[in-house]
Formats: sequence, C-alpha cells, structure tokens
Amino acid sequence: MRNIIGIVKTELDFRSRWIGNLLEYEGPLLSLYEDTDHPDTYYLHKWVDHDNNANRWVVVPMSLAAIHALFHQQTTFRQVILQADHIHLVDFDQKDNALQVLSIDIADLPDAYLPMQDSFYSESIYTEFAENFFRDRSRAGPPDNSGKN
Amino acid sequence: MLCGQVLLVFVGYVVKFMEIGGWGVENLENFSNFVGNMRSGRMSFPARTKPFFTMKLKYQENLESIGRNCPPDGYVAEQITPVYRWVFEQIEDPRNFQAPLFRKPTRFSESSPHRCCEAMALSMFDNLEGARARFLELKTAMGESIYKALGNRIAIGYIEKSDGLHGGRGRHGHFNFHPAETMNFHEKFQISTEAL
Repeated sequence: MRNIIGIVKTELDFRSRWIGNLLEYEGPLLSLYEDTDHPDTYYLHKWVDHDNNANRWVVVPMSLAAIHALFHQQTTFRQVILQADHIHLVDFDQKDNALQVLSIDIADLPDAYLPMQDSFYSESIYTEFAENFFRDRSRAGPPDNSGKN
Repeated sequence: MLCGQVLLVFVGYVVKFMEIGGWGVENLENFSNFVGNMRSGRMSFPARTKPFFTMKLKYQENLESIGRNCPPDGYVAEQITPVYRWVFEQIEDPRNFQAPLFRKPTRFSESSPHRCCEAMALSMFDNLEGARARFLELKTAMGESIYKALGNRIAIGYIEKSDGLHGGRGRHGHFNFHPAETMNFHEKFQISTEAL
C-alpha cells in the first residue's frame, strides 16, 4: 500500500454504522454509513487500496445537500471527496478492526484514490440500495444550506 | 396395472431421468422428449452425463453451511462459450479465480447468508463488450484504484456443463458462476486483452 502523510489517530472521532453499499463488484467498493449520534450525517467509504493484511478505505462525511446534488447529477463522487471538510484513511483488517486511522489533507490524497472527473451518479451503475436511498433522501428537495457538503 | 405399480414405474422413470441430466432449465426439452419417448415406447437414454445435483462444487462445505438456496434456485449447469472475466496480468495469479470471500483480505464484512453465498461465486460476462463496459463504469466511479481490486486484463475462456452452476444474465451479460471442484480455470482461460 502507498505511504500517505497524515496525522495518526487511535480511532475515528465519530461513531457510525453501515447502512448499505452504493457500488459493488465481488464485494463492496463504495459503502454508506450513518452517524449514530448526528442524524442526517452520512459517511462515504470508498475502497482505495489493500495489502496482505488490510483493505484501505477513504472515509469522508456526506451531507444531505451532497446526497441531493449527487442524485440530481449536480456534482460527482470525486467532488464530494475533494470538498469534504475532513478526510480519513482507514486500514481495516479481515475482521473489520481499524489497524490504522489517518487524518489527511486533501492535497496528500493520491489521484489514483479518487474517482474520475465524470463520476456522476447513475441508477444503472450503482446498487438498488443506492437508488432507493438517494431517491428517498432527495424527495424533500435540497436542504437550505449550500450544496457544498 | 394397479395404481401402485404405475406409481413405481413412474418413479423409476423419474429416477432414470434425474440420473441422465437433472432438472435444469436446459433439460426441459430433454424432459419433453423423454415423456414423448415414454409414451411411444421408444425408450433410449442419452449417454450418461454428470447430473449437476450431484456435482461437487468448489467450497461445497462452505456452501452447505449457509443452508438452503445456495447456490440459489434457478442456477443451472450449461455450456457457455465464450466467457470473459477480469483478471490480473498473469493468468496464473492465484487471485484470478479465487472466490471473493476467500481472498485475503476480503472486502466482505457482512454475514447475511445471501451475501456469503454470492461471495463464493465468480463474476463472468458472456460478451467482451459487456465486460469492457462494466469495467469502464467501475473505473469511472472508483478511479485508477480499480485495477488493484479487479485486475487489468480480460481473460477469455469457456465453461462446460460439468464445470459448475451459473445464474441468469444481468446487465452487460454478467452472471455469477459457482465452479465445480474439478474445474481447472487455467486450462480453460487465457489472457485475451487489456481491460481498458
């Protein structure tokens, strides 16, 4: 796995639970978690790397505004990551234990870890869970705060 | 003939039918022919083939531990030529034909029976264009890291009836394949082209 510069943390500073996978191919590639303490705060987990011991995931917060913008193709998954307030890289072992948690600056995130420029949401590409989730959360219209997550 | 005798004969014929081919969708035609032959008195059985319900699958014990419906109902043994699969650069790479659940480290962390069953199947495509199209979709969504997850080549191969069980086709001709214990992927697949 690539060596990434960041601040080593003992654990993530929020609690979240898995609610579904947005993209799969022989296992999850993009997953969605929700904050257990703050309703309507979600975390996007994007698989980016692995070695013999762990899978590495980028973890970024995702607001309802970002979800609405994604569903309506006003932004891309790449932009959601690039505009995130904070980014974590987490190495999970086979049993889902976090072996390493890094808080990193977006500038230190390798381009290979990012989706492509045109990574718009599309129903046909993503999972049925993604379709249901995005449609459900977007039904109320865009939140009052800006489209930035 | 007494009802009991008729029943016994019928059971005998059913057992014979099951021995020659099983109950897969592709055997409905065989079954129809079989019934026709039985009615006309022309009973001749095709050469015995390995019935899929007795086929030992790779990961058989793990599949059985999941319980019923794994592989799911509707999975059939059928010849498919050609088939395509994304692989790593060297066809001998052990990751190429290893079920996702048993890769180390696996990306699976859920434990639902359905998901575990699916994680013991391999993804295949029945056409090259479909394999490429899906790869492009995933590369767009995931970026260059997708190569490390799934490989950078497409292998072409073939599946014979005795090689395993497969599900129905989805988008781009994708299907899941549970290989038989005897399946030798390295004999039947070779690198065809770059994934993208």
